[in-house]
Amino acid sequence: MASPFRTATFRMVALAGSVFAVSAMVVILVLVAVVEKVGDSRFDRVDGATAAAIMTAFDRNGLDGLTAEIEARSRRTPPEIRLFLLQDAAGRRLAGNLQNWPAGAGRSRSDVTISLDGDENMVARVGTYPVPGGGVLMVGTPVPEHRQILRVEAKALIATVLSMALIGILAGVVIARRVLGRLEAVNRTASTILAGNLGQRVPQLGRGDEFDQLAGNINSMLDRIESLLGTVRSVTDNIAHDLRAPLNRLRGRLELALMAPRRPDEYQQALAAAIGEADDIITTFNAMLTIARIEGGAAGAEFETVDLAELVETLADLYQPLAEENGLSLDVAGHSGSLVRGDRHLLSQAISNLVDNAIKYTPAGGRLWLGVTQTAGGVRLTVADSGPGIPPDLRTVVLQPFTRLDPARSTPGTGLGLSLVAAVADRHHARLSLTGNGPGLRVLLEFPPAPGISSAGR
Amino acid sequence: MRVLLIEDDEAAADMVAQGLAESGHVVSIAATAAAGMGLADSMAFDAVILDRMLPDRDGLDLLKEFRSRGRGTPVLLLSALGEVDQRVEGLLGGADDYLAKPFALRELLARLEAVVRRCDGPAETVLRLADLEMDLIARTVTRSGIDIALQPREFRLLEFLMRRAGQVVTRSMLLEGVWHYRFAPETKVIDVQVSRLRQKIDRDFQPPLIHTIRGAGYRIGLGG
Ligand SMILES: Nc1ncnc2c1ncn2[C@@H]1O[C@H](COP(=O)(O)OP(=O)(O)OP(=O)(O)O)[C@@H](O)[C@H]1O
Ligand SMILES: [Mg+2]
Repeated sequence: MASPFRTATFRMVALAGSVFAVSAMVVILVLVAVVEKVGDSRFDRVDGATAAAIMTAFDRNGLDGLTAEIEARSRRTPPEIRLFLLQDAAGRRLAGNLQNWPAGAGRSRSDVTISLDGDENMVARVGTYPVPGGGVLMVGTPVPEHRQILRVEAKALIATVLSMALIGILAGVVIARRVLGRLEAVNRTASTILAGNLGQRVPQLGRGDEFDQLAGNINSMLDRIESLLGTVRSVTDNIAHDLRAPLNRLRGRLELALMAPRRPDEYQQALAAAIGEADDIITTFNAMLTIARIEGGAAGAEFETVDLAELVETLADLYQPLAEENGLSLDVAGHSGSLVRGDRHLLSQAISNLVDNAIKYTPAGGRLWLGVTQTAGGVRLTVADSGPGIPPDLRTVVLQPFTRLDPARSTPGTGLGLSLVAAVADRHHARLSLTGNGPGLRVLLEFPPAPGISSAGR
Repeated sequence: MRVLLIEDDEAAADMVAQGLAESGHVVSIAATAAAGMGLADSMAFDAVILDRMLPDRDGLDLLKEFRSRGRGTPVLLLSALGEVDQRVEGLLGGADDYLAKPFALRELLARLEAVVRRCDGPAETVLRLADLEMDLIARTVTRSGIDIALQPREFRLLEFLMRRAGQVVTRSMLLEGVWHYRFAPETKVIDVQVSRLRQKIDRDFQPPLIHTIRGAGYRIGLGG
């Protein structure tokens, strides 16, 4: 299996995880900063106001008054609530609830560490205020515990986010592995197929998810390829089987002609017969190729709107004299405007094959019918005759290539005519059915309604 | 006439060349598109027979270049690809006709004749051959001044033959020209059509005008 770290899934999960982690961290840091800022400015305001209130004592009674005021306040207020410290111009401590001047305390307010009695330490936000005559007053507020907790919590949150991102990445690896596993099944199938086993199919888990859909699509693609290959194979087999005999005859005729000296007219006759044989081979060959192309979907790529009634009219015009020559009457009935989507040439050829059969297999004195009607389900084409018909149990078999029912082979033909009709019908999504005509054969071709065409006429 | 044959299959080229020579034509053979173009540049031809699949270039390509150089020489395109769309492609590319392999030599000769004789001049409204007269506007046919009633399809068939009087017209040319079909149903279909027409044109008159050319097709004209 390929490394999961190199899969697209992993990259996507990792990217999403990183984006989440970074943005979560930014949010936390901004939040902490804002909360601290709001708290600090409140402390600063209160401490400032306190310092101003204390300084009124100096205004009234000078440095001694100030010292007394601070001593009074220090007695009332423990350092855990508020810090006071006063020193004179020489830096000597005058009063306050702190013993030592904390390091770092200055005019701009800042956080300093204060050691209380014992080894207890405490963080406080302090500021200094100048006393006229050179002394310094320091007022501060211990930083409340929740602010410290906030900082600790922010660290914990960041740690959480980072571990979540890590979990995300791990999940990415796991998901990528699973995706890879299912893709691997597809890849394995593809490899076996490449190795020549076209019968292989991609396993479907039946969950109906996109992997099952992919597998389904690949499988139907394989089905199509297999059926196409099957067509090619059967055409090849048929070529081998059904062209060998006439080629053999052709060769035999030519060989025979050369075996002994003959008169020119005998040579001429032999050569003409050979040409006839070759023409038959070409006809068979072309018919097989056409069928294979229709089945393979290569022919008839450009469908157009075709009026079947008009097509039948032209065909009847072409076949009428031949029918009459064979002592057959040909009736044509068609609603003009019987429109279908299709390939004009293929349709002509298919209908022509049916008419050809009707003429060929119906004895003199018989009747032929050619009809196009519009039905609720689309357009129906009928080619019927009053001939011998085809027994019900053979009506499917005759559609197979090279099937001819006349055992004596008294009529010429390759047995591909109806196969081509079936292929053309299939290509046009038309339903081909052979029924009795009591007596005779009736062939129906039922075309689906042409999309986007509102049939004129009835 | 002088014919340029551009075909790389030597055996096929020899066969076609011999057929052309025996029909009284002068043939030059080129085995590649380049050689063909060179020959076409160095002398004048009445027609070109061009194979679609050449070793150095697609015949259709060559044809397009040929036409873009303003050459109007009739071109008959040959190809092993017999499908309808290939044919349309060839005709759109500037070919005058298209023939799929395998073809009958007679078919090739007849079609070659047809593309060379094709007259794109003003359409005549009255066609005449000996005592046979065809008025395309009044849609009447007379022979020796006697009216002959023709069915519409017989009229179209006769018109097609008359426009090519003296030339051999094959069954597939008739099928294509008169019924616009590009496949070959039983040859008998056409034979019966022509024999019907012949009955009306030739039975009561002398000399016969519609002739069957064995192994090829039909020709309308005086003699033989
Ligand atoms: N209208 C019909 N009446 C009786 N039998 C028929 C009719 N049409 C077809 N058949 C039988 O079905 C067989 C298969 O017909 P199909 O058209 O496929 O081949 P074919 O006519 O023998 O040869 P091809 O059409 O290739 O020249 C025929 O040989 C014939 O026995
Ligand atoms: Mg048939």
